[in-house]
Amino acid sequence: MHRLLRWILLVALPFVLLMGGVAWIDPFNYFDGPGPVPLETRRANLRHSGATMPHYTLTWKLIEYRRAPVADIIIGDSRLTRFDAGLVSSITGRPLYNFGVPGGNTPSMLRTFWYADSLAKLETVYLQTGFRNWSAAQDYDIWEGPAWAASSAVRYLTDRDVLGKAWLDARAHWGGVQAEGIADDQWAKVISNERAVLEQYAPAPHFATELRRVAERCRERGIRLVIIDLPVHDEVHRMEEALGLGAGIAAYKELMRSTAAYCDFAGPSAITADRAQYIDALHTSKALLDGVIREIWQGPAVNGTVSDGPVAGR
Amino acid sequence: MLFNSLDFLVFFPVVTGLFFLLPPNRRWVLLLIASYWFYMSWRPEYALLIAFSTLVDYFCSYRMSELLDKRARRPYLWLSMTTNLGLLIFYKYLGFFVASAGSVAQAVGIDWQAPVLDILLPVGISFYTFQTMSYTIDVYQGVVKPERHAGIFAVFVAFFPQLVAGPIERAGSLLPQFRQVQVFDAARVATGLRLMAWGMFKKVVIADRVAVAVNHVYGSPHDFPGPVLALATVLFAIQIYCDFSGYSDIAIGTARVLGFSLMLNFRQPYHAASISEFWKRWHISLSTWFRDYLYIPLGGNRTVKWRWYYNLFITFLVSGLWHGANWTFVAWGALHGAYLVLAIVFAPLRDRLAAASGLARLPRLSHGLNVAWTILLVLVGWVFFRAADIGDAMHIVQASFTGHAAWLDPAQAKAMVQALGLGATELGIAFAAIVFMEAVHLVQARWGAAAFLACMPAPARWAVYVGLVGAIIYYGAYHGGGQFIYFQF
Repeated sequence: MHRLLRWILLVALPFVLLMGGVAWIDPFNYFDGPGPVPLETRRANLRHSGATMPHYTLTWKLIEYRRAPVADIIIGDSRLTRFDAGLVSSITGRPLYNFGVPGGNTPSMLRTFWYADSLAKLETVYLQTGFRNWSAAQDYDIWEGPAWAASSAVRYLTDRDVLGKAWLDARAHWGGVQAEGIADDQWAKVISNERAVLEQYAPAPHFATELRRVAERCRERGIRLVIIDLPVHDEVHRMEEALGLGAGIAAYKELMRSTAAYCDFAGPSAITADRAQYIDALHTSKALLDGVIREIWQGPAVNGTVSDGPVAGR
Repeated sequence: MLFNSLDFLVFFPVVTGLFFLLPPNRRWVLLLIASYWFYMSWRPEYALLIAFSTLVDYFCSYRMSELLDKRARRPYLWLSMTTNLGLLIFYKYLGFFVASAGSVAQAVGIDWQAPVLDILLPVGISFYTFQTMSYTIDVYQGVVKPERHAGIFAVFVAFFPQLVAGPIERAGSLLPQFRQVQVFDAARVATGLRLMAWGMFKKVVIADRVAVAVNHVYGSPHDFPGPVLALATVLFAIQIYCDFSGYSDIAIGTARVLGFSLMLNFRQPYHAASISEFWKRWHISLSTWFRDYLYIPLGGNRTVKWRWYYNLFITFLVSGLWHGANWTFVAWGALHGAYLVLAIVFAPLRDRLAAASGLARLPRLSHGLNVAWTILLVLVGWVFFRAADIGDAMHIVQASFTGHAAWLDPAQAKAMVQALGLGATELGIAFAAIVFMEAVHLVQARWGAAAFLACMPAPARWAVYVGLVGAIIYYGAYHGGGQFIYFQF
């Protein structure tokens, strides 16, 4: 009996130590306690590399939002990385939670809505999206893993990605490992990736069905749903035109317009030509994004259209 | 309750601890409560079906034991059979039969709309009804003595390690074990835990991971080219083996920890060199059940040739239907029945060809070719087993044999692998785990896993244990729900 117990304890020991280490470092701030690795380091490591960024960011945000849910949220993709929710709050006078996730796609965005809806009495939901997200080729999963890890303490402590993040945090804190940062050829990489995304474009009627379910839920619960299409650089528009995607884009915009209030800044305008205003062809600089925020929430909308006037005014 | 759930992680140690703390003559009470608890965590009201089946079979076997004349016992046998098969037909097949009748009516021009019967299939009903039916038949035949203790009999029917997905035990083997005193044996507990860990590894690391690709491709088979369909079918073969043999290993290991021996259910079926051998290695408890309670009563092979073929074919047709209320399962069973009949018919020709080609003088090559051929036939069968309907299955089989030249182009090959819907990391983990499993199979076949582990230096042995548990914890694919495939049967 004693031999068996020793055998079980010895097999279990490495895992007890690993789980203890994860709980101590708490890479996604699940336990919200004072860990050895500062919160800023753990937060910075969410963006350590392109490969881990989507899962890490979503896990962090699911946990963070559950701890302190608010009634106004903005859901979207990596283009919300430099989105200043504080600026919006200063205009509306209401807290806004930024659910922007690098690599976020339509399925993960819509599931985020249902997640937030299960935790809070939502009042305003901003859905930041774009034509590229409404392609069947973008139907991949980034939700299941983070949702699993965030759903309970046992799952959190035994999840491989959480363990990986704890290891990264430890190396960053004690070993001086730095995040990868923005690559020199970021623009070219994004263009190449975007070309592939647009070339693979295929209509995704099931996304539209899911969006309508969300809109229906919003109507039932009196939640204001606002769809926001942020500007992209003209190089993307030229690709869309060259690939003959005009009809697809028109159908997509019609779907957005017919579903909810729609803030459309995605077309060519005065702010889509200057490369200096962009990190890469998809991601605007913070200064440009702040300007767009003011146009949407305060008005007037000069570089895009906002159905029904400034968002904050309604 | 699922074996691969946190609930079971608490349930099992508690039950095991209490089991060995209780006096032996009271342990059946604990096993009965634990077994019903295990089952009721799914849907409490369906435990009544097990209780009903148990009561009827207990009554019938009790009455049969009081009657010496076989003919006088027969009504009780029929009562038991009618009850168990009635439950099975009502819950599992009624909807299928009614829908099929509706389709036939439409086809012959009768204006009758079949009603949609929304009957939920009770988990494990095919397993426990077959186990109790075998008991009643054995009592009727006088092969086993009826169990007089109603509580112990109820545990035999509901014993939680094998209640929902087997192995389908025989009364002669399992019932006496409930009367024996199970002494705590650390070595036996350790082997049980090892077997549970091995089963869990196959289930959560391999089966649940490749299931993502299989579901993706089989969900819309017309969207994929032939090579991707073929690859998905190979992955399904791996998935169903790891899922079901994994469940069986956990069941056998769980029972072993408690001191019970359950029958072996899988013996490396994909190493079989013929379909006949495949069925001696795959779901052994079910194939021996059908052999003993259907094939042999029909006359087996001790009859004229055509009748032998008929007996084989009917046995596999019914076996297919046992797996599920869908024409795809019937087709799967019929296909295997046909394989076996054709193998017998063409055996002389095959032997002559082997002799003429010189293969007979190269036993290893001949064996390898037979294994490959058997796998191919089994794969075709799995298409029918997994496809949503016969139309999809026919499309997949036809397409799977086309377009394989694309594998020669690295870009196309990469695109086809990507089309499976599993990321590179997930594919890499699955591939490594499958290679590891095959290495373990080879070790098992050559030396036996326990003997091999015992010969290893202690640090290496511990590395294997820790690695296995680590793989289960950190490399298990837990996001998909983790339901065992055979629960639906």
